[in-house]
Amino acid sequence: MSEIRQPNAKIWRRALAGGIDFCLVAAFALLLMLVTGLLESAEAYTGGFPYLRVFFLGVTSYLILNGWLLWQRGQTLGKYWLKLKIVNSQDGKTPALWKLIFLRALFFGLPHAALIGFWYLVLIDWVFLFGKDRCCLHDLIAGTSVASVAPALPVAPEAKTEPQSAD
Amino acid sequence: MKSSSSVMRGLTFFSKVQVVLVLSVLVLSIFFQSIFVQVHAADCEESQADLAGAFPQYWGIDEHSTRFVPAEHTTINATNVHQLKLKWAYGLESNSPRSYPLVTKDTIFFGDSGAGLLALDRETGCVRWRHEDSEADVASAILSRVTESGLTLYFTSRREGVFAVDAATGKTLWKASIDDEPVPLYSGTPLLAQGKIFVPISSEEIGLSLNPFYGCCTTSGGMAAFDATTGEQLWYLPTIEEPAQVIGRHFFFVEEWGPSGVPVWSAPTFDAESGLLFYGTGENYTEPATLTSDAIFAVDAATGQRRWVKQFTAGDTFNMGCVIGGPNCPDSPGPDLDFGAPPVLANNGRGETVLYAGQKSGHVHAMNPRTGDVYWSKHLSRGGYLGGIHWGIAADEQAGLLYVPISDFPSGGHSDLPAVPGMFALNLSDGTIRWKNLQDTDSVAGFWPGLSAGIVAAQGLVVAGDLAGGIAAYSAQDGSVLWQFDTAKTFTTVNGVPATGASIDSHGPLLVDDLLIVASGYGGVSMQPGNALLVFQLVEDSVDASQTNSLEGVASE
Repeated sequence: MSEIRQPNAKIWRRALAGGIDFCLVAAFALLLMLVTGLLESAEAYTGGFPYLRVFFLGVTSYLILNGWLLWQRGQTLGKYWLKLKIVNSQDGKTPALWKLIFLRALFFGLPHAALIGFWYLVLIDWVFLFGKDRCCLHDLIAGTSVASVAPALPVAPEAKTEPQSAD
Repeated sequence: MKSSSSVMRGLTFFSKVQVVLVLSVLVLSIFFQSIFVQVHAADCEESQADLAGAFPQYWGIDEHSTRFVPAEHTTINATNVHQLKLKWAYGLESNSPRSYPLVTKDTIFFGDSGAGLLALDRETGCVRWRHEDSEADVASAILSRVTESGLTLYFTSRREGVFAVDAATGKTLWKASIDDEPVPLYSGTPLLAQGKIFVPISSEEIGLSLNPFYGCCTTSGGMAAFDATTGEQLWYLPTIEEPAQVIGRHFFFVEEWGPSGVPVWSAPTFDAESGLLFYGTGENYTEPATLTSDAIFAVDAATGQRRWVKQFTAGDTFNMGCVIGGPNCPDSPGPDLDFGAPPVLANNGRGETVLYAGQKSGHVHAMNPRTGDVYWSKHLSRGGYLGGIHWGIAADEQAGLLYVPISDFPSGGHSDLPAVPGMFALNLSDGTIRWKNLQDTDSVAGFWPGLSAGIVAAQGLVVAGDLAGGIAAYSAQDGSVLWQFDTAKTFTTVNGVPATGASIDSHGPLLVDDLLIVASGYGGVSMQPGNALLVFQLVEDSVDASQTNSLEGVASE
């Protein structure tokens, strides 16, 4: 269990969590690519760069690494380590998985797309982050926000009397 | 899910302003981009071209690839070449133009790489039409053939294949590619003969080998024949016939394959008398090396059957992974000594037709075209993986000369030999050097002045561009420079696009009628990029000075 400490987390923590996820997913996709040989043969490059295969590797890696955490806690690995959580902006609850995957996670590929020239798409998404609500475009579309969380404190035990000295 | 309007209602005022600003910038960008394109269109008022007299029909000027322009096709010769003045310059979109023009009575067709095929007015440089097919990344000379429906243009796009285009309208008639290889690269210029179009096939694996996670390499180069009317594939002959096998692994999982490679990236040569097609090949990408790399092929043009293959450098395995020290580089990489220059068929002065081939190694080989037997070989320079002899040689049968441009760009080769960039004239009969004119490598502060591009010869002269941007006409008699021009500068252009000249490489200059046409700025393989298409014209001495000056004034430093 965890509790929301701050409804809209600080930008640097979100960016760091995003950076961790970015690197982890890329590294895992690389491993997956090596093991499966999906991008190893000439056939993969027939007709140009194999965008579909790269997309498939990215999605699969993202889901393997983050799927369970997203479903259970509304967190990715990066957000878990940075103590962040995705919540519904309306009620503060963990969003439905479909919303996290089909609306919000679609934007996860943008930083990767930036590497091949679509940097402006990232800017369009991130420029909203500097608004009052600290929400990116993907948050606005999915109706979510990123909250800072802290582990719930254990229930405070009832006050005990100081043991009496046997003296 | 919220609708977009409900999403907007949920935003703060500041966020709404941001949304509006971002969308406005996007819309304005698209608007100004379209305006920019319109400003630089420079379209002609008359889009209809006079298609009579299309020249040349081949990369090599004729089907023997002599690169010699006879007097009936050019008035430029040794006595008047000094009268060449810049007529106009056109700013290309590509900074690595790799095309060779086709010229008609009033139009110049030229490939602007990814920007497509251009039909330019010969007098003014305005655009008659642009080939609209966005897939057409022009990578070859523009060829033509008169058909029932008029003049048809042919060219290759590096990744898409062969295009046939209506010369009158610029519309694609057909497009063809091969299914025999998964990643073919159509980087060579085809040849039209006997109703067929013969298309050289290279492989994208040369670039994929840079990727350390790619399992290099399984594909082969080759030659394909298509019906020139319909685009139907008639035959395909790979340069490697044995299938690739796994030969090793790296990073535990990535499989290494071989044999592979042996691309064909230069135009073929055709002998109508024997019905044979001749072409040169490149190196193997991976081990084991085959007997077909760095070789000359003779193939029956009708059936695609090999007649003979003559290899000149054995055991040459090399790919781009070697340039970066990548894991795909073979254990014992070779020197990469392709035949990038099409073989030339010419009379040797003793009544015999001889096949001449220039190699990146700096060798010229003279062969019997029926058997491949070597008459003589001449080693002219230190060579290297960028030549040596790179894109093309030329033959003047009347003068009995074989013109051989030497680049010797620092790129491997025989390090114990000095670099000798320059123009060599050999006797067609025995390969002895008649004369040579070496470039001055000491006084050049800028780029390496090697002669890498294809060259062109005419009555009493040979014209060559160099990698530093210079272009010169040499006397056939003694190699003295009759005319020269430095293209490595900026030009005011007829289409308003800023143009810079730089390395002259790839297909090189063309002589046609009273024009010399050359693209300056080939940025491929580490050369200096630029985007100038330059048209020079003979201006007679009798023309008054004001007119001459106005023509010269087109170029600005």
